[in-house]
Amino acid sequence: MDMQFVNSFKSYQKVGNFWCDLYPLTKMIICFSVGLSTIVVADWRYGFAWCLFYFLFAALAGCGKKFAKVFLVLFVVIGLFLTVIRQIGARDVNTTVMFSLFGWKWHLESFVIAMNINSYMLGFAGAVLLFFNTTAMRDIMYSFEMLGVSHETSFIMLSSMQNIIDLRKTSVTILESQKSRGIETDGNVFLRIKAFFPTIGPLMLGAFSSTEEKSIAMDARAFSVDRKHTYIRELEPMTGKEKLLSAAFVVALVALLAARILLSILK
Amino acid sequence: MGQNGAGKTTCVKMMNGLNRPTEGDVIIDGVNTKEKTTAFIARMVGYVFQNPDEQIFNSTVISEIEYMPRYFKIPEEEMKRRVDRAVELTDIKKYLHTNPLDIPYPIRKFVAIAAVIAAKPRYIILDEPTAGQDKHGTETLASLIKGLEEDGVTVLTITHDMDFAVANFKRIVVMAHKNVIADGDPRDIFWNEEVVQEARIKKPQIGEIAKKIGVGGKVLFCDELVERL
Amino acid sequence: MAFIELKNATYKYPYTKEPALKDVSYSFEKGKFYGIIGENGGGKTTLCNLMRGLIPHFYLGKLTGEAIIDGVDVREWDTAEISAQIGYVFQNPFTQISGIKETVFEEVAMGLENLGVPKDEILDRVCQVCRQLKIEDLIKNNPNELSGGQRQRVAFASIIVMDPETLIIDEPTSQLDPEGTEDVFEIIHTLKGRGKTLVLVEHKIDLIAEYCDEILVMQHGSIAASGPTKKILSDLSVLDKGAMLPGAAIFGHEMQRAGKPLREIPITVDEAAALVAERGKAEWQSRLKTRALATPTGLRRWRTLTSPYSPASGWRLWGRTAPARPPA
Repeated sequence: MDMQFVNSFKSYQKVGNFWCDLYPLTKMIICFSVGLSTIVVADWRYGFAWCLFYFLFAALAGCGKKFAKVFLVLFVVIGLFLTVIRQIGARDVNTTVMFSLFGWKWHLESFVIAMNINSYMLGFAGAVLLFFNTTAMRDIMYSFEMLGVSHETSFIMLSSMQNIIDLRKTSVTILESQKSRGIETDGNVFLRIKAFFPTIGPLMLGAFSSTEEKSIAMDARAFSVDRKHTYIRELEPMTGKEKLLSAAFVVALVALLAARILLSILK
Repeated sequence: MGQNGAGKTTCVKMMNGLNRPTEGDVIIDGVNTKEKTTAFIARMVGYVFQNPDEQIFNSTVISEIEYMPRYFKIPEEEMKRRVDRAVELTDIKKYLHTNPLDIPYPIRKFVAIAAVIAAKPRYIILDEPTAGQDKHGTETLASLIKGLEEDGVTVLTITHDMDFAVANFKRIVVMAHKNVIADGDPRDIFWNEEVVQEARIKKPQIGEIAKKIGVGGKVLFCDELVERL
Repeated sequence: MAFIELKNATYKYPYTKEPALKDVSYSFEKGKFYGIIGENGGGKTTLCNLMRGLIPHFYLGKLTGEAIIDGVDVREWDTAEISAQIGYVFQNPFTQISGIKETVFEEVAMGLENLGVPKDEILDRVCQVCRQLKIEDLIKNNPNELSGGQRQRVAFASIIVMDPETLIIDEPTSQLDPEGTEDVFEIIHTLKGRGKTLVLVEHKIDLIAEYCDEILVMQHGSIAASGPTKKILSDLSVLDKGAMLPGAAIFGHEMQRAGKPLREIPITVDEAAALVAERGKAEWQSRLKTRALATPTGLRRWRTLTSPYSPASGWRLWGRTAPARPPA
């Protein structure tokens, strides 16, 4: 028996990384404050600077690759789309021509506007992405449960994540089983679509019938007993430092918002 | 036969074309599985999954059984013959117009088997068909295997049920640690203590009794044992 | 003392015509190991559902008669509290994993967390159960990625750790290989040693014969036969009630039919071997007697051939063998 692992439950769960070991709520407050601040500022220099920080944080948290993969896809898709759209619309502000693409003139002003919008779209999305990439769902639900969210809600959230994984696994098995009966699944799109239908029935029905059994099984594990729960896996509650840090971010966000409103009134 | 994780299912999935060998070849009646699609190989080698719920998708038992013959565009008369035979072998006549989901799980397994039989493959693989079956179910399986043999179909079965294996099969292949460790007549397999040990299988109970009282002659069946005492 | 008492219990699931249980009366005593056998659809699982309180709390339908668990009518039990009293393990290992825990250790601990047991005690108990069920090497694994057999063990551990007084187990071994199956029976056996009441639904009759104290044969929703294991399983009529008999019992009956009866019908390998040895000894002794009486070899041979009684086959009458008297 791996006693080291067993004993790890006796103290707070830590991975030894500053960012990851922050309490989920702290991380959430920080990420959301930063994300919202990019919308408030809506300036490409500010937004993109944070985007760089996201990469840095993700890398420090040890999930740089995973984060970069998704974020870069977002970057290219959203970025390209908005940039092109901006070049088509908003003609009245355009004065400076950057370059010409097969006779289609690209203007600097529209480009900057696009970049600003990009910066907050990505700035916000990136913050959310960073939060979910560096915080396990079970930790998020743990902190919610501590705030008084019910055990049932938490179970539904967590198990639906697992259900998605299971559903994918089952759909592969069902597809295999249909293949193994002689239903052709490889080949052109039409064949694939045709082969897809026989898999839907078992998939849906399997999901339904297992729900009943699962609820019986969970009931057998005293799920519905109304007592104060024990959590063998505990996270360190928000420390004083963390509270201060979270407060600082919120204050900064509010300050930015105030400044922004003030500026627009003065204009 | 063999322990969980010995490689039995992977092995039969290769025969069915679901898994392709990463090295070496699997050849079914002269056809290399690497060169054809799974569906093509599956027409020769039918595989009944352990869990029937992963296979059944039609809303009545009869349409489930007719599905593959229709898919292959078999003439109506021939299809009827095949379906009748499949129903006869699996003894599910009284459920024909029921929704498969409304019949008990062990019988649903027979529906899955019938659906594969109706597609008329040369070989049929059954993955743990005896799990959860009662006396009647086990007897039906035994007569089904005999019936298929009469029809010229080769039956391969993965099973943990020693009595079932001894009573119904002429050849037993034992797997352990992702390898075949023995292959032969049930008598030689079950009385080879080394194989029994390594694969963690057990003699059928009559064999155990024979061993315990020291009766020779590789006894596996009740009448033999009675005769020798 | 009866822990679960059924009196004329009849139950009909909603949307079915026939009742699934018909007039079932039985009392399950504390500390005993009960086996429920019989054909599928005979009411085995329904009986479990009733004893677990799932009927009438989870399954609607019509329940008449009485089902008393620990002195309280099942209708009055609180469903949540009943789960702490009566553990339930069933066939499908996939639906018994919660899907919300990332390690086997936490999965096993979940029931105790729900009961609010102090953390240090949880850690100790989970360790103990994992050792007992031989899943120590799996404690760090993700329970959602285990094989069927491993999951079944984890499901078992998850219930045993809660230390219920009674354990109802519905076909726990159908996904397991012979070794895994024996392990499960071993586990159940040690639980019995700790004074737990056990109710097991199983088709693997050889193991039922070896471990259970009492057996119920269910057929068409009623108890077709019930009583001590030995009595039920040495009776051929069980075969007509849709249940199987262990190889040893069949062997005993075959010996009898062949005119070489054993003193009684064995139901396990050990019993069979002992009875055969006993019979061999008796036969040898009577042969010795014959030899002492008849000095010339020819005469002895003649006598054994023509004598109407032989210890091996009993009285030989008109060319037929009558059932033999048991050797003294």
